Amino acid sequence: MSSTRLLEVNDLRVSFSTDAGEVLAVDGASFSVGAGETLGIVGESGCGKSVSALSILGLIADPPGRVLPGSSVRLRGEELLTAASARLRDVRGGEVAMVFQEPMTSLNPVLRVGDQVAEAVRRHTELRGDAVNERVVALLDRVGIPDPASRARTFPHQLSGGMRQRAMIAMALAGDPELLIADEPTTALDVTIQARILTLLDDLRRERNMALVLITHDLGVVAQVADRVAVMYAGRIVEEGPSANLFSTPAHPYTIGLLRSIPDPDKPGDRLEAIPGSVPSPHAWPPGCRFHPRCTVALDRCRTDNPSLMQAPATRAACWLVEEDL
Amino acid sequence: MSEPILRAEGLEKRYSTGRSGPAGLRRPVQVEAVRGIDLEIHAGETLALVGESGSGKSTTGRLLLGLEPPSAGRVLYRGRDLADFDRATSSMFRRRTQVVFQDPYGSLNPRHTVGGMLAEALTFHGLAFENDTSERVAELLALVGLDESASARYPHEFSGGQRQRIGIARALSVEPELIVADEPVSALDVSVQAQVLNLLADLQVELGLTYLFISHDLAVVRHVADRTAVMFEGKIVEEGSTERVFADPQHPYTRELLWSSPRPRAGVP
Repeated sequence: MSSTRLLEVNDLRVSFSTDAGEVLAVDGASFSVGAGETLGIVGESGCGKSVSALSILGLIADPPGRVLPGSSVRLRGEELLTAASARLRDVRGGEVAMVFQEPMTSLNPVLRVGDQVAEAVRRHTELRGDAVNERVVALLDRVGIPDPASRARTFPHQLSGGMRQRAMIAMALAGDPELLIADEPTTALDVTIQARILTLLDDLRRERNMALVLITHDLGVVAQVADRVAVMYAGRIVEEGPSANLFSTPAHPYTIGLLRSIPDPDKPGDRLEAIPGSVPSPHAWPPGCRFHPRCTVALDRCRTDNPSLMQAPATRAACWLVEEDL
Repeated sequence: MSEPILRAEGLEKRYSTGRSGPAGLRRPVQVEAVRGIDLEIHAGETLALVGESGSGKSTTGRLLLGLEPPSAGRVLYRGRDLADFDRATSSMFRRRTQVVFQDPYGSLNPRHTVGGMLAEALTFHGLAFENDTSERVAELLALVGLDESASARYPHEFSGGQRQRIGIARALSVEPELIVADEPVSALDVSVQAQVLNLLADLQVELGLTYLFISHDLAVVRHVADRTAVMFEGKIVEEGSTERVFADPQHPYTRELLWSSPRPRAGVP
């Protein structure tokens, strides 16, 4: 089948057992990414965006986590959720690599940066001996680390936050991935550094025709680099579509509310249109549409019936109002 | 122009951070966190201090409140040097200037009920008698948009946004004139940030408060501040009306900061 996308996630459901009982962190998320494309997954704390990303690579600890039956994660058509663990280890850092928010906790503090990148090179390529070191220096150079040969001999704590994140990206590139999953890659960084890291990720995507899944709480970051955006709320994708459409013609009240909460540079000092209430906890997700208690335009059926994604003017949105309007 | 509430003159702060260098040649390392700052905060305005991590903005906030002594320079409160304050003046100054922190959870005592915490602040500063705080506590909770029932609950029972409201209520309990808000919405979800920003704006009008707003978020600063001072490596590199700083930035660093700041594409209906 030629229409197979690089990554296809279907009806992903992930639950966790906690002291307060079983909670569903992700409840039926479906999304896909094509080669060379950037998908932004946006949402606030606890919406399930990181759990979704970790599930792709089978990185959810079981127990307490569990990917529920019926979920599917396909890479070039190959089901990863049921793949043998040896195959998954090859995929991780090979075809699919991942970078996290805080590089300091993902890098080993007692190993030199170059040795950590070298380990990834040896694990995922045929290179050995001096060729490994050459590749390491080339990778560090490519991600914009100045004086890469000597920086390779430093320890993570000797690098700035931005440089550490670059080193993490170099490690991720070691296996020449087709898909890079970046979970809040710039959240811990200052804005000037953040802009440079995003530009780097975008350049790498283009020159390698690599797909990028960018997980973030920051709509500004998504607007800057994503081709398509999925907005998550309380474990579900509530709106999805091309980035330009989602920002110009959002259909879901939550997306609209999020965009309106951001101060408008043309109206400084005006009252902000805040979304009332706060993000619900997975322990207490409301019935029906999970956004309805905070929604100012909710209908009666929103309190009981859970809407699926349906075609809106420029996007797909999980909202009964979309159906009413059409 | 009227006399400023706070005025900083040639403010500097150096810290010693352990030692470094080869064995035998180790020396204490001095970090210059703040390197000569002049600043005025006038009654009723919101002054934003913008910068990235390590720029010295939070240290400047602490120096202005007298929470740390400067290495050089001085801070004047209504024309009087903080360093010359006697105990009584010091205590009055502490009451008139309050801080709202980024992480309300870290700054609220987990073992005290919200009501108990507010009552303690009231009695400590002699603003109410111990047996007569409940009315004022209820008033404070209403002021920040919390239900009266919040009084009997503990900090962990609240969401991040509600906890920030509690932090604001505690700051307000002692009737301050100046509030230093250090990244007050940075830890909050986007959908809740706007609620807290609106609350701060309402309180300013209602109570005639003056704000020093410390933040790395340019979109937020542009929204709330009358004047903006941009900090870089311990110095103020640019200062002016917020409108001017954003529309016509003069310093290269301000320009880079503005250019780097991500914004969603416009066009929300």
